[in-house]
Amino acid sequence: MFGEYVISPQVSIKAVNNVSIELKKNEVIGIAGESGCGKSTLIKILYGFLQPPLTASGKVLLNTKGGLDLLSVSEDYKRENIWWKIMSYIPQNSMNVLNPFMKIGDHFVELLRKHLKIEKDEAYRVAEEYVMSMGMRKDVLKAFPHQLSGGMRQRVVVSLALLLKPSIIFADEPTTAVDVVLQKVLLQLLTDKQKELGATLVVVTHDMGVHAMITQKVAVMYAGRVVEEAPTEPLFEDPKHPYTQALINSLPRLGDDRPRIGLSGSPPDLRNPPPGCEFHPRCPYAMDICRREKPLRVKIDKDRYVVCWLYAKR
Amino acid sequence: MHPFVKHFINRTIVLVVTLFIAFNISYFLLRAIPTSAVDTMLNAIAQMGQRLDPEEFMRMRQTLLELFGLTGSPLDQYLSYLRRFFTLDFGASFIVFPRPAREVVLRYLPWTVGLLLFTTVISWSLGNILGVTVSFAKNRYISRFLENLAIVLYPIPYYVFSLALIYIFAFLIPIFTLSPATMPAIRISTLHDLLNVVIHLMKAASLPAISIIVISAFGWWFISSRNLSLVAMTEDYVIYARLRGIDVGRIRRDYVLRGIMVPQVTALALALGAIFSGALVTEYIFAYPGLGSLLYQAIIIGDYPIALTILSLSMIGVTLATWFLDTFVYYLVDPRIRYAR
Repeated sequence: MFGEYVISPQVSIKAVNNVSIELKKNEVIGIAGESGCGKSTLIKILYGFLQPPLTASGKVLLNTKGGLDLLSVSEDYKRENIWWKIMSYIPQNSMNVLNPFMKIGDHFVELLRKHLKIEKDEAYRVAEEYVMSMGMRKDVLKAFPHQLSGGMRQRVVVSLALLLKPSIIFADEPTTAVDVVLQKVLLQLLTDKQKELGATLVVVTHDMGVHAMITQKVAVMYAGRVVEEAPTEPLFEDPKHPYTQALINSLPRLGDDRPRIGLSGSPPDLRNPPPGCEFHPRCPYAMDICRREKPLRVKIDKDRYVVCWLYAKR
Repeated sequence: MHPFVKHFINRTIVLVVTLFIAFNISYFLLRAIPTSAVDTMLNAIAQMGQRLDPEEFMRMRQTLLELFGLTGSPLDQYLSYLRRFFTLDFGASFIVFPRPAREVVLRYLPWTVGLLLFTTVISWSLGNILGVTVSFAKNRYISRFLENLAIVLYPIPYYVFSLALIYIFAFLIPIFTLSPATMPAIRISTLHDLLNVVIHLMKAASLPAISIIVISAFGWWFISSRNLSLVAMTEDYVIYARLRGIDVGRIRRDYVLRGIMVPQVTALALALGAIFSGALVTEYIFAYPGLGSLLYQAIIIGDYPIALTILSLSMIGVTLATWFLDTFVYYLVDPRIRYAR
């Protein structure tokens, strides 16, 4: 899958800019970066979910459907054939996304009936079995969302995402606002099922710890661009882009009591991005050229790319 | 204890307390009025030119005081007022002396409640369904048309709109009559009678009903439900449903409409409670018999029994309506209320 995006709402916030990313089967890809750098927007586009004022250009090609471009098919088509069947989505704030007026069971039955074209009773039976296979009691189906704990609700949302055995799962900050114990349990559940299905899991989070724990490949985003793309291990051992270095250096490590060096400032206003490399106002290595020209994508190693003038051969 | 039983008991206690407070306020307010109702009535009788000798005058005064429960110790008076409040028995009316006020009010009651219950429920449902539908509509022309229609209709003063209706449908195209509706006693023994009653009702009530429905369905209910559903559509659970690819019809019904029901049911409860005090302007313009104009006359003439009957009726009506919605409808509409208490 290859995509290139230029987003322009009314004031035109270019939240995702000239990004191309490839998702492979049986792979966990992380998208990292601070808040407001376009991570969520990127996966919304990848999911083909364009709600005004979000618009996208470029292509999102789906190999399983013979190179179908998600950005050019109708929403009805995506509803019937793509969403939840081929791709599913775990939204931000997943603790509070269930319909408060509907029982948990109806959330499952609704999807099963729609996609498997089965009767209500049968769908309910399938849901019962499925919920138990996900390690929950089947009584959960009879509850309303407010009767469950936050952790349980997130579990339900994760289970819903895996219900129809999709080949791509997008998870937008799946474990934000969850304590570390539950975070581990949820991520484990997610990656176990991902392996079982041989699916692609795309995890968006600012939490570098999560990336270190579950991803195989990480794309680091800054101001709407992917600034570095690398397999997880080399990225953490030897981050190339100054922004990635700053992100990783801010992580606490066992046995290391040097004070953590944070990055000062905040991501630029995307309505009016700085000229040249967007990162230059905060970059400790900023050179003259960084202030004038956009850096190019440089291949460093196999599957390793960085967008920075420091690595450009001239 | 079953949660519903607990909920029911809770709500009923609130109902009783509310009624008790309302009753006390009306009791003390009446006694705080510096003029005497009985003296006002006697003066009115005297002004009509009837000559009464002082002895007869005092006897009549005594009778009236007894009739209004103003004799005896304060406790006796309080208890007798309490009984009158709940049985709505405030003695003889003054407008149609000596018919009991309750009888007069009950004769008007079905006209008012029939009309306003019908129109309130219809316009509430219509407005809500239209509002939600429009906020989902793909066809921008239809939704824009309805939105603009509502924006134009809503600020038109009700009486202007009503007069326009009368002008068009009773004068230019005489479908309906201009003369005031009579109020035949509703007695149905044969099919023919029933048919007559229905025709009579249609003739008398259609125009007022249309005026209320158009103004309140397209005006208030439509605008509020459209605004509420536009907000509901940005709620996380609706966005998540769209991400899941749930059919639009289902999202409209089970997600958005369901979500706006809670505030809208509250508004409906208040609107329903108000129907017992009638709709003065509607009744006046369409010469329609109802509690609103009856209350107006009663106040002008100083007919305390009738005014008090209507006042008590509307207090009991409002509290009972909110009690009913609170106990049963909310309980069905919002599962969080169903189980949380």
